[in-house]
Amino acid sequence: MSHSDRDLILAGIRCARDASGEAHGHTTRTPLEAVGPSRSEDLVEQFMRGARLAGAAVWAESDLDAVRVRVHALAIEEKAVSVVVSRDAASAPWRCGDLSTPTDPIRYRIRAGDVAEQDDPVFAAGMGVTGAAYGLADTGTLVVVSSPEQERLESLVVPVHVALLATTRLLPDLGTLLLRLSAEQRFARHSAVTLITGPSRTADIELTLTIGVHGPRKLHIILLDDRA
Amino acid sequence: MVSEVPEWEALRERARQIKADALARLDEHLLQFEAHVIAAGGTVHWAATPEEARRYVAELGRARGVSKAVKSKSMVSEEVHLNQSLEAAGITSTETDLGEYIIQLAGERPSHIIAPALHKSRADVGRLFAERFTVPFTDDVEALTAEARRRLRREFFAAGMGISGANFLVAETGTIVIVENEGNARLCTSAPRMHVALAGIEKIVPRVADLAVLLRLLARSATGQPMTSYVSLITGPRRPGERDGPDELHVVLLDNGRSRLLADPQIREALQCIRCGACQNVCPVYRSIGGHAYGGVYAGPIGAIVSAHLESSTAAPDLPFASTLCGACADVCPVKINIPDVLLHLRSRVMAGSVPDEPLDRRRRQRALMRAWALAMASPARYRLASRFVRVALRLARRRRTSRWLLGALGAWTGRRDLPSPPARSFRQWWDVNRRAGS
Repeated sequence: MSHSDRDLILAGIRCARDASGEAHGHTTRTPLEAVGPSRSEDLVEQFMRGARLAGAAVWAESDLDAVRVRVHALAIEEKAVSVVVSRDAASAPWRCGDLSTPTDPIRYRIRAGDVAEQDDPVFAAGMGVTGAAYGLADTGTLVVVSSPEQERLESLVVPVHVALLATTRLLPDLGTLLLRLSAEQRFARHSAVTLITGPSRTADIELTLTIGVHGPRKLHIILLDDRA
Repeated sequence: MVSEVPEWEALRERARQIKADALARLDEHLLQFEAHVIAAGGTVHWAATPEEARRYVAELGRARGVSKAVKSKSMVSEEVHLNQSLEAAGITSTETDLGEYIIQLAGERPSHIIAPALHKSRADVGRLFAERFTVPFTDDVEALTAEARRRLRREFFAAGMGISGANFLVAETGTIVIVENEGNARLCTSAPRMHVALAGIEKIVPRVADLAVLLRLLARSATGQPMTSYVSLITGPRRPGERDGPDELHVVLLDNGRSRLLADPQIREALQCIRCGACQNVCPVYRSIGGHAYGGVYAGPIGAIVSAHLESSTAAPDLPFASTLCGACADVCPVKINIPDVLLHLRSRVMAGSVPDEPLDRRRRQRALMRAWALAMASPARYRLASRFVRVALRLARRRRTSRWLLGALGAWTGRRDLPSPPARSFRQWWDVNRRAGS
C-alpha cells in the first residue's frame, strides 16, 4: 500500500541519518558567483557562437520586417509546404501568423483550440515558428515556457524549428535564468520549461553522430537585434 | 574539459556539496518535493520495493485502460523490471531512446548507461531492422535513424501512457528534470495523456538554482557537450489553457535499498551519483569486460558499488574486486565520489565475511584455472606448447563457429564477444626470424 511504503521509506531515511551520527546542519557552500562563467564578452556574440557550436543556424535581423522576410525565406529554403506558427509568434510584436505571398503560396496555420488531433496542423507542417522566453548566452540555449501562447509541439514534432528571440531577452547563463524563473514562480504556473540547444541528435549507433532524431533536425534562431 | 571550463574544479566541489546537502536532509526534501508536485496537480507514489513500483504503474495503466505505453530512458525502470510487468498487464511498452529501442528489438540488456546499444555495430542494427521490419538491409546510420524515427513517431501519439526517468528532482518546486539529445523524452512527456516518472529517492536536489551547477557538469561528463539538446523542467501536468501535455502526472519514488545505503557512512557518498557514465568511460576494467559483465543494471565503477546494495540485485558480491584501483573514476566524477575508497571498504567487508562471498564451486573452479595457468607459465617449453595450442584452438573455433560449446563454462563470456583472431605466428617465432637474422 502506498501509505505504508511512504512511512517505511521516510523511517528508513531518518534511521539512516541518526545511525550515521553526522552533523546535519547547513554545510558552507562555495558561493555561486565563484563558479559562474566569465562575462566579459558581449552577450549577443556569445549566444551566436554557442548556438552555432551546437548546430543551430543564427540570423541577426535589425527590425521586425526583416525578421518576417527571414522567416518566409527559410520556409522556402526548407521547402515547407505548410508552416505552423505558435500564438506568440503570430501575435505582436512578431506577427508571423501569415507571411504567404502570391508567388510562394505557403500555408501558414495556427493551431486552433478545438481541432482534433488528426487535423492538427502541427503534424503536417514542414516548419514550426515559435517565440522564445529567454536565451542563454553561454551555451546558445533557447528557453521555451509552456503556455497557451507557447505550446510544446510546435518546437518538437516539426522537422525544422524557427525560433524568434529579441536580444533584450538574453541572459548570461543558466544560473541567472533559474533564479529569475523561481522568483517569478514560473515553475508553479507552467507545466514545462524547456531548454533547447541545437537540433536533436543521437550517437547511439556506434557513437556516430546523427542530427535529427525525434525532435527537429534543423534549428534556426532569428535574433532581433535592434540595439542600434 | 578544464581548459574550456576553468572553474571546473570549483563546480565539482559545489556539486558535491549540493548532493551531500540533499542526502543530509533527504526526508525533508522528499516531503517538500511531494507537496509541490501535489500543489501543481500531480501525484507522488512511494515504492519501497521494485514490486510496489511495478504494481502501481501496471495498476494505473489498467485502471485507465492503457494498452500502449512509450518509454524514455529510465535506469530505475530497468532496475524494477517494469516492462515485463506491463506486458503481463496487457500493456505494450515501447522504448523510444534509439539505443534502448534497438536493444528492446534485439531482446538484450543495456551495456552502457549513456549509449545502451554500444555493443552493437551498425551492421548488427541494420540486420536487426531488416529482419524485424522487413525492409532492405542498410548499415547507413542516418537511414537507420530515420527508420526508427518514422516508426516511433506513430507510437508516441498512439500511447496512453508516457514513462520517463528523471535526472533530478527539485525539492523547492516539485520539478522533474529530464536531460536528453533525441527529443524522445519530450515526446513521451507531452504526447500521451498520462506521464509516469520513475526516480530513485537519491535524485533529489534541494533548490532550482542547484541545477545550474549540476546540469553544466552532467552534459560535459556524460557526452562532452556544453549542454544537451533538450532539458525539460516539468512541474505537474498541463495547466488549464495549455493544449499540449499530459492530463495526469505521477511520480514514483523508489527506495529499493537506497535508504540502507544512506545509513552506511562509508559508502553513502555513492548516492551522490548523477548517472553521467564518466567513470565507465575511463575505467580500464569496464573497457575490457564491457557493461554486461557486471550482471546488473548499473555497470562500471559506480555499478561495482551500488549493484550489490540494491535489494533486487543479482550481481556478484565480489564486484568490488573488479578494479585496479587506478583512481581514474574518482578523477572524473563530477560529484567527487571517492570510488576507490568505497571499493576498498567493500572489499574489506567481503574479506571479513560480513558480505556473502562467491559460491564454493565458483571459487574452486577459479583456483583450478589459476593452477593450470601457473603450470603452463612455469617453464618456457610448456609456455610455447600452451601458446601453440591456443593459436590452433582459436583458429579452429573461429572457422567453425563452435566457440560457444567449445568453451563451455566460459560461454557466458563468449556469448557476446567475438573470439580474437590469433596472429599468424607467435612473438618468439617472429623474433627468431627477424632479430636473429639481422642485428
